[in-house]
Amino acid sequence: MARKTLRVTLPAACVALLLPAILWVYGNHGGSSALSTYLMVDADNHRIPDLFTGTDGTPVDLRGRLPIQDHRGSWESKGSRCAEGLVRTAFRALDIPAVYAADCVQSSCGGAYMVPHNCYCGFDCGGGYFNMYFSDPNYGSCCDGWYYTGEEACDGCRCEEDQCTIPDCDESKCGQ
Amino acid sequence: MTAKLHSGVLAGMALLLGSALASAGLTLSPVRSIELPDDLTAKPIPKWENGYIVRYEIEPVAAVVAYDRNGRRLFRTPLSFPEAERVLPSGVAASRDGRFAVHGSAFHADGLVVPFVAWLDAAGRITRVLRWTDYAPFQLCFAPDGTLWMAGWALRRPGEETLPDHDILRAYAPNGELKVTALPFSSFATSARRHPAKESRLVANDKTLLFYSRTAGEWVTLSFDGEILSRSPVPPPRPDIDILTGFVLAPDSSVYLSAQMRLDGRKRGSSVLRWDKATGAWREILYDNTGVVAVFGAEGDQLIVSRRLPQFDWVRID
Repeated sequence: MARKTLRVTLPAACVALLLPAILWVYGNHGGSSALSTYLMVDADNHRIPDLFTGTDGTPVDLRGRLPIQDHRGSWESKGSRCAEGLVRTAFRALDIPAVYAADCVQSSCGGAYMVPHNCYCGFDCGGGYFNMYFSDPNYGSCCDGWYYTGEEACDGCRCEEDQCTIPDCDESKCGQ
Repeated sequence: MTAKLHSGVLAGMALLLGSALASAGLTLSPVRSIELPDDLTAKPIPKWENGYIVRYEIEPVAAVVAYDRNGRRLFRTPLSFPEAERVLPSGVAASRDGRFAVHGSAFHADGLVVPFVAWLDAAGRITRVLRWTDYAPFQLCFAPDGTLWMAGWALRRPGEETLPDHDILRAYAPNGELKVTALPFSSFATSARRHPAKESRLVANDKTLLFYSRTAGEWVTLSFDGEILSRSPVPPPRPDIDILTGFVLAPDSSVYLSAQMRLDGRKRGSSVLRWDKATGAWREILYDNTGVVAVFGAEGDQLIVSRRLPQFDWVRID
């Protein structure tokens, strides 16, 4: 009798101990598709199972004409040699499989250096920009500072024509 | 002897520090400093809001990281969503009661891209995610009552020649209810390419909300009901600004900004300016051609600045 009770209660106890731990781990990591506890809603505050449900035909539907894997841009910098080396090094591992473009990097464009931003048609080349801080003694103090990685010079029309990539900046469009 | 030596060294350091930050007859004297436990090199610039430092990361994985006012890390929450191959955060905010928000874009493997904002609780757990198909936020800020305000723009559908008119500002209650929209795009004399939300700043104090559009050269103060209280053109702080590194609305409604200038190609200089209501112009209160000073926030009569991340200094304007 005692052995039977043990056989039943031991696994139950293990489950009871492990389940909260598992749920805690998932909860602390923002949830996954199976165990997410947060509410996901659309603009009408209606619950949706994932971010992409009900988005067919929306402005940001790039399917069929923009395979993400084929549009990995290259990080580019035309600033000072110092900054170029630093930025290239810092961003070497930064490989965003997104729809982004090499921005205008001439000084006349406000000193933009790198563009890991998402630049896609529906967003009119916007949707995000980053100011990043660099400080690396290997490159000297001249590299300390913030680097604007914005999309000021992006051009929505060229974005459309080139399927949301801007291979080279048209300087005449800078700052427009 | 040792004590004298120490006091001499400290006095020398204070003198050096003071002279490094002295400018325009003003000196910013640090009264408190903290250092975050993380290396912020090549990370997006953190944000100070409502007593918290919050920032996001885009690599190696998208994440939100928050710290308390002493620099203690509260959480680091990786961002991932069902069906999203990649998440690209773009901005963050922290509320007075210790909740957080992050906005960005989520990418489906087949090319679908959607903007989103996610709310996080004090432990960093995601509590709610809101997705749009017609709007994308650019800036976030929490009002004192916990309402999340955002500045953004309408999404242009393929084939649409012009951007449809839309309210730039939106405010969402903690329960996700859309409370207010305000500030029509058409009320600005700018093009879609230079949308007023681009390079904008959205900040709040106890009294008002302030939207500053660098592209439109204008700022707007609003009540938390979305009523426009004032609207005025704002001249550029300096002609040679490379990057706007900080924008602060102090508790007494003073406005400060910091900017970084490219001097002779490689060298950079920093400037901190205060809006002078009397003259309707920016007044430089600090210029530093040796470092990278930026303003992050204000508490009482002190500004929160950083000369070298991840360190933050509380300074009183003498």
